[in-house]
Amino acid sequence: MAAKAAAAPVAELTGPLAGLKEKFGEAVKPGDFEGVVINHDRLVEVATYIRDELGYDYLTSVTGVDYLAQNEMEVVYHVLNTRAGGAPLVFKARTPRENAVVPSLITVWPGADFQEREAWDLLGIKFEGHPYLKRILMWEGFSGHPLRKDWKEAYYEQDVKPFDSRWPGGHHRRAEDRVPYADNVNFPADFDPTVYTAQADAAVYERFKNYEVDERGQFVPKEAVKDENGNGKFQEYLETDELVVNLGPQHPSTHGVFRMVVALDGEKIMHLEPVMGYLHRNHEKIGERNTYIQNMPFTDRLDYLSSMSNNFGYALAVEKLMKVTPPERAEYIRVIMAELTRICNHVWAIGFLLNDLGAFFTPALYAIEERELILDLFEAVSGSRMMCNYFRFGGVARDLPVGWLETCRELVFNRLPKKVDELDYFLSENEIIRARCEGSGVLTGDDAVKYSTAGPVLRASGVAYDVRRAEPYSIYERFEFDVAVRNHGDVYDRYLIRLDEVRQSLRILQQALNQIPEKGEIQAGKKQYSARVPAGQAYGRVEGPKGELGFYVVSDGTANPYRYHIRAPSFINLTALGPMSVGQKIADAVIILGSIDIVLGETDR
Amino acid sequence: MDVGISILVWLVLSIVLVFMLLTGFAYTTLLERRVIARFQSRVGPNRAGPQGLLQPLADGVKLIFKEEIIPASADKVTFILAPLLAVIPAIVVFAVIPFGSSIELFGVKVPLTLAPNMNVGILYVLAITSVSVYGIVLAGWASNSKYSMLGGLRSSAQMISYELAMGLSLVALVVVAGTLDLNAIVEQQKQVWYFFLQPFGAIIFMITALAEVNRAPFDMPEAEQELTSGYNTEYSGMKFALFYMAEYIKMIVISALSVTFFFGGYREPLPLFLTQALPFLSVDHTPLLGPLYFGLKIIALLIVQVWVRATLPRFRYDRLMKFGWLVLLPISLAWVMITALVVLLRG
Amino acid sequence: MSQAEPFPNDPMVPPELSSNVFISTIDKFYNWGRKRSMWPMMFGLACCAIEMICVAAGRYDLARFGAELMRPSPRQADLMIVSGTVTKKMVPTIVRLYNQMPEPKYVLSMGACATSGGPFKEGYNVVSGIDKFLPVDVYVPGCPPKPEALLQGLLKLFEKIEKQSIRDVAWYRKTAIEAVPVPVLGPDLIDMRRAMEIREMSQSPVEPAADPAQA
Repeated sequence: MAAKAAAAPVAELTGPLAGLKEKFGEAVKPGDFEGVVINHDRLVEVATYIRDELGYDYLTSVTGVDYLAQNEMEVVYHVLNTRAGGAPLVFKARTPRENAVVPSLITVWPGADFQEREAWDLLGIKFEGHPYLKRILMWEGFSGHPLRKDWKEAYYEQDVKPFDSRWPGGHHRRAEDRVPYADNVNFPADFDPTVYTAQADAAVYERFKNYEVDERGQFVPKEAVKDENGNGKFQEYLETDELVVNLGPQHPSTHGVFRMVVALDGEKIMHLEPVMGYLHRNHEKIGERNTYIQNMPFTDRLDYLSSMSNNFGYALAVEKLMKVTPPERAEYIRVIMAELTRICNHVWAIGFLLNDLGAFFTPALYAIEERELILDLFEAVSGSRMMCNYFRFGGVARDLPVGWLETCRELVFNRLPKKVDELDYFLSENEIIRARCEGSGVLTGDDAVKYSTAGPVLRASGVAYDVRRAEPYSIYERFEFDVAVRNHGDVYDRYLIRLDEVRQSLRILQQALNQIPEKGEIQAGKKQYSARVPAGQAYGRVEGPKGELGFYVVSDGTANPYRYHIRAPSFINLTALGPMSVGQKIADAVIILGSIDIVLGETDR
Repeated sequence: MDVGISILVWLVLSIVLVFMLLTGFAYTTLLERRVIARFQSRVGPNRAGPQGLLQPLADGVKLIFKEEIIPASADKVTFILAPLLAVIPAIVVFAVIPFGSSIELFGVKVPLTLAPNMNVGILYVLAITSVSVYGIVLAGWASNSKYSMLGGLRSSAQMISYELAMGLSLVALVVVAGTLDLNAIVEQQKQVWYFFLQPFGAIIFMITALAEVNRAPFDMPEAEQELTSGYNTEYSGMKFALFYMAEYIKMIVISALSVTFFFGGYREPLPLFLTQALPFLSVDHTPLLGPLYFGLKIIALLIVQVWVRATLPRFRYDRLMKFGWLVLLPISLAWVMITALVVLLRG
Repeated sequence: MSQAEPFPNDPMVPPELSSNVFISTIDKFYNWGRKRSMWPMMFGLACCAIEMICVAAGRYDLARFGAELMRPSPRQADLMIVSGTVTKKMVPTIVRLYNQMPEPKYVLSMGACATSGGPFKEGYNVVSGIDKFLPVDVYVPGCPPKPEALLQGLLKLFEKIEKQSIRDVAWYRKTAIEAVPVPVLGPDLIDMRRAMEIREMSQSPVEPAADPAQA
């Protein structure tokens, strides 16, 4: 594709990058983007330097990009400085498509773990030195790496939308009628399902050290296998009896189809393996076929509790490429929507954390009551309760209906502050809640940064990093608010910080509702069905309710994004779940997961 | 009294009692669903019959016609036996609980207790309630499922830890009452409820009783958030209904026991001057009011249990054990000694 | 009652059908019980699950219909609400859960994804609707359906139940209802009912018929 040819190379390296060039010489090359390309034999060395000397201690996003035309794979890293803030530093590693190998950066930033596995899973880029490079979203045994540009799904029709069969002619055939198996499946030639043994589960259990998979495919304690009679030796068996329990994918407290495999010694967790991908809906593959604007409703379905802030992140990324700024009123509307979404999400998260603690739905249902009121507001502006599809590049889809601001003011100034205090009053000092939450699932500040956790999880560990402050987007620099921070890093603090953030959001909302211009444009330029996006690449990020939500978009100047990657906070925050849970009780694993607050639509994408 | 008549009375009484308990169980489920709904600003079941009053019937009809699944890897005999073992002790406890004084019926004096002169009533209660845990433990084991097994294990550990404190809280009561006969204990509370003489004993008894029947916040064995459905994960249809029944009948039983031990049993819950002014309100005057008062008190305690369930989060398993052994047990031991000392000093 | 005399005053009921009158009162009772006590499985897949939870909350209150007892264990559930996108990775679990439910059991497909794959249909990890594997009783359209729509779906299910008769429902027959074979995660999702077909086709791939519209 023409993506790289279109943009002229950046000749001069400035700022920290210049120092990098000086230190490492030929290993660091300027690219056709605002960053550097690093030779991959010195990648780990340079990365360590970037972390230790330049202060970029936080790896936010790892993205694989397949450049079919150049016969090249690219891994794009975005790193952040959590102390100084500012824009992310971008560097890339390139490798040939065939046998793509890049050194793993998991030793430098352990938070690279899941993202590297994802790049391996979807693009087939090997990360040398990764201790457990297994598929993460698809299952072990799946054929092919779906995000490669030459990989075609069963229902493949055409490279990009709109498909010729739909527009302008419109003689569409059902996908089932077009494909050989009359279903959304594809099998390699000479495949025989009757003799196939599945490997999907065996790979999951690989890391449980006292267990192995015997020749019948059964998952058994090691001692039992070693016995020559084929029976477990009873004595030894008793001594090392760890019970492996699958929580999920269908389980009341995994917040969707998430799966935790835990090895238990009594009630204590010895090892926890998160397994995901049960809701992998191929956002990125579909997104690369879609036109830019077609992706907007799909972002709604990422973190389906907070569609408005997903819209926001995607709109920002594309606007960066298009170089448009929304008009004043639209900016205010956007901020109002994003903050309402945050409140929605946090009260929901608190309610369901309490549910995980065993408080038979009562707090959750009270939380939902408030959420419903906010959803009414969303429905009024966008026509949909949950899937708002409200943002457009350079503005928003519709203006606020008559009377909307009054209803919103009533809610924000009068009702919600009281309700938040009520939640606080009834929950925060409850004996059982304190006894169970305080001190469980502790994540230190250093670890939080190391594992690339974001949002409330990061800030509850004492790291005051908030994208709204660190790299203000939209009009956030106009508002007075505090970045909520708590210092213990336990479940209780992660609960409290959500209350704090709701209060801060209310502060922002109150200012925004007072300042919003009464009338004005809501869309920069003309409304258009197909956005014209110049070639280039951009990383747009917002502080979503779950943490930093980033969209990495590569444009080749056509109507469809060449690469569309989502940095999903729910997904990356889970890196810390294992370390936080080991040594705790099984009941704690459930509340630790609840306190991370994941949404599977975003985790699995 | 003629032996024949007394057997007849006994038979009729047991049938009435079992019938009352089963209806009580059915309506306790409805009570819980409606009351919790109110706590959660909802309405609750109101479509089946007027105000949802036939909801338990609908549930019953459905569960009876539901397929019964016995997992292939389960231990079949134990699997079937377990729900029976859970529900029978819960019903049998009621034999010693007096739900009224005695009434004259067709010239026959009928005591409103199944086993009126059982002078080891409290021992009987303790013995039978201990048996009911076997149902849960066996269910957990027989299902051959990890969740069930963890539920069963939790249940047995919990039961052992809380039974001690429960027993001790009753010892203090026995020291004051000087009898193990429940009828006598109720009669002694004519003036003052034992709740006021034995506040610690009463509170410890009620806490431990909640733990005994695995109700929130002590519902470890079926902790939904951790163990899906705990010991009854693999049960379906009527067998599940039996566990359900056992749980709710046990709720009624512990309410009945608390009422009997500490809240004056079937005696009128009215201040003395009121019964002096309106003597027909007292049980001595109108014995038929006994069961009514008794029922009202039970319902009040049931609502308290539902309230607790709707409000409190669950304990964690290890803290639950700690609470049982390190808090409840020492307090109840100290309380026994204090009570004994006071009784001794007062002669 | 079945031996009772034909109703002399009612010419509409022929003698040989008089026993059906009795059956139909049993049916009424039987169906009423099942309808009023429809316990769904606590089982959410994706976005729609959020709306499902909202249905249980104060504003819509599923409990009015006696259906708020969401059972975490499939053994005690009567209704599976497939609320969200069914992915290939998830479908073996869903089928297994369905097989674990006792009869009579119902499936409600909630939302566009569960019904047909919805906006994600073309995705390589998406099953084009749960009805490829399970018999669905009610489809509720929407993305996601509003809570009212789910309630309406539930009422439709009640209507369906009301039409069933205890005499001819499938689950009290002697022949057991066969369980749906659990699909296997291979190089792609393997529907075990089509295993032989897949083997043949992978050995000699056949091009599908050309598009009649383009021909």
